[in-house]
Amino acid sequence: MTRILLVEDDDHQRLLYREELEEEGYDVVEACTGHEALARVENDRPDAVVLDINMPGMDGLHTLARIHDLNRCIPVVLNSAYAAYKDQFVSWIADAYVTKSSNLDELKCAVRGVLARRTVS
Amino acid sequence: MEGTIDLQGLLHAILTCVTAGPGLGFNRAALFLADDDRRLVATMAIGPATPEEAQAIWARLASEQKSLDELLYKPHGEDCTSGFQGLLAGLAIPLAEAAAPGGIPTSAGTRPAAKTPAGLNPLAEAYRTRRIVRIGAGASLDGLPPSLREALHGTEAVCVPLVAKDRCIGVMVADNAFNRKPIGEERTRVLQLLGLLAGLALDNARIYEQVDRQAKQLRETLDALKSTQEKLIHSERLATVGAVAARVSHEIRNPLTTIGGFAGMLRARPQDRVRVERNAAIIAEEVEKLEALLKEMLDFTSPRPPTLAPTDLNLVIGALADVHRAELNVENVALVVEGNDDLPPVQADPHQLQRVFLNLWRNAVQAMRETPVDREKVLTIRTRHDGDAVKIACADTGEGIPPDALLRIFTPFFTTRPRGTGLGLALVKKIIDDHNGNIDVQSKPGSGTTFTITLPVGRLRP
Repeated sequence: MTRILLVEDDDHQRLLYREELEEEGYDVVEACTGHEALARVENDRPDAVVLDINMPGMDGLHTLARIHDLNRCIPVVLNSAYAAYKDQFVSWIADAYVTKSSNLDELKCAVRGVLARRTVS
Repeated sequence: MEGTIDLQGLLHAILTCVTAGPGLGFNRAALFLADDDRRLVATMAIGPATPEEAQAIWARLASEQKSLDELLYKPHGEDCTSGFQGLLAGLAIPLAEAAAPGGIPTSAGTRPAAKTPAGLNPLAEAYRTRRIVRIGAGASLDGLPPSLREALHGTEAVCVPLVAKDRCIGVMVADNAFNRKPIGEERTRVLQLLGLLAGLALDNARIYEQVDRQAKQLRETLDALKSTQEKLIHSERLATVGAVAARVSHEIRNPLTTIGGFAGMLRARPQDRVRVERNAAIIAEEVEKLEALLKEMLDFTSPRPPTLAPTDLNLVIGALADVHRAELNVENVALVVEGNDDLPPVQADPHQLQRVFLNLWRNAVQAMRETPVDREKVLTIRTRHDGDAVKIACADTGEGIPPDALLRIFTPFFTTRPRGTGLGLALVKKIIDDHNGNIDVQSKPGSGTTFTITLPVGRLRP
């Protein structure tokens, strides 16, 4: 079963994404902070990461760089309410960038996309 | 005449004095003023150009029987010049020729004026020597431009320098081209005197014009500065609006995403009762968040002025502590209130001050959320009387504020938190300012932050 690590500090949104991703047939593991996310990457070996950017403590972009240091092969989808972070060069090492929306199709589509590319390569 | 500052009006007045019957009664007169290019420029002339015109004007003047005063104070806009003006329009006589050699026998005042020699420019001569130069009938005027030469041909005329202080500013030419009346010594003397007065008056008018021009330039510069300033203020406002828009759109997008997402789930699985109830509750909570955000925005953008009343701050803080102590306990924060017993009342709006304290406490709780487990979370409120003021200190044992952020914490929309509007402390500062008070912050990263509010003990109304 494909495992997705969901990193999101907002409780309601974490619940929403979890249920939607589980519906897609993924095994979802959660993290509320960047530090927790790093621990999950090492321990749970996810196939892809959905990563929020604005979080207390270590933010998503910082976390992204650390995940990249740990394991370059795990694809990361940045998922933020801000479109502006797309222009920050750290965002470029992410495999996809999704601006948060009540329509979750874009997020699901991005997750499918990064997983497909990973399988090919 | 010396008091006149309108240049055109003054020129006309001078020429009228020279030509009017009740004045000096010359047939024609013209004023030439020196310009910056060392030229005498025909500026204004009065009198007819032809004998026929002369006849017509004299006939009209004879029937009108006007006094000099009446002639001088013609209403503005009435055509006060005539044919002579047309003859001389646009004429400029170079002054450089005034230095022409040849011992010019000029004469002024009481001495009999000499006739100018052939080829000389009598206007330039009068200008250079500052003396009256007479032009005899039939004098050769080769030095003059053809139009002026023709106008003065065969007539006796006088060129009067217009002297102001220590310099010559122009020349007036007067003649009797039509009635051929000889120009006597007496007339010449009066004309010279008039030239002196006219020179002074013209100089005043020019200086005034210059001052007026400079004043106008200053006004224009000031206007330009004002408009630049307004543009700056406008663009600064736009920048603020931009910051607000970015912040607000993000703050709105998060709850909207959640609301929309759970609403979608409701629609997909309406029969799952447990989930329907949970999702509806989540949606309600997120809507509350949006409403709170809206309220905060409105409070900040259109705050009401404080309604001041004698207020016992110990009472305000005590009541607030009773209401919120439980919430603070949930966060494992101990609330310690140390109220000074001798605290005088201050002129304040208790509701607005409650907002201030609540905002500060909420900040403190957030700052202490990330404190290490072994450190105690304590929020201490101390009040004390200090001279003419009351001081309230709110101290937490939280993470502290980094020095670079400390300078900006009261700036609207500045925030160090991922979920913050950046309006809380800005509103605190605004309310304290409205109370003529002061708020100070001291922070040590890693050990805590203390906000100190100073409110003046105003004179209380009985």
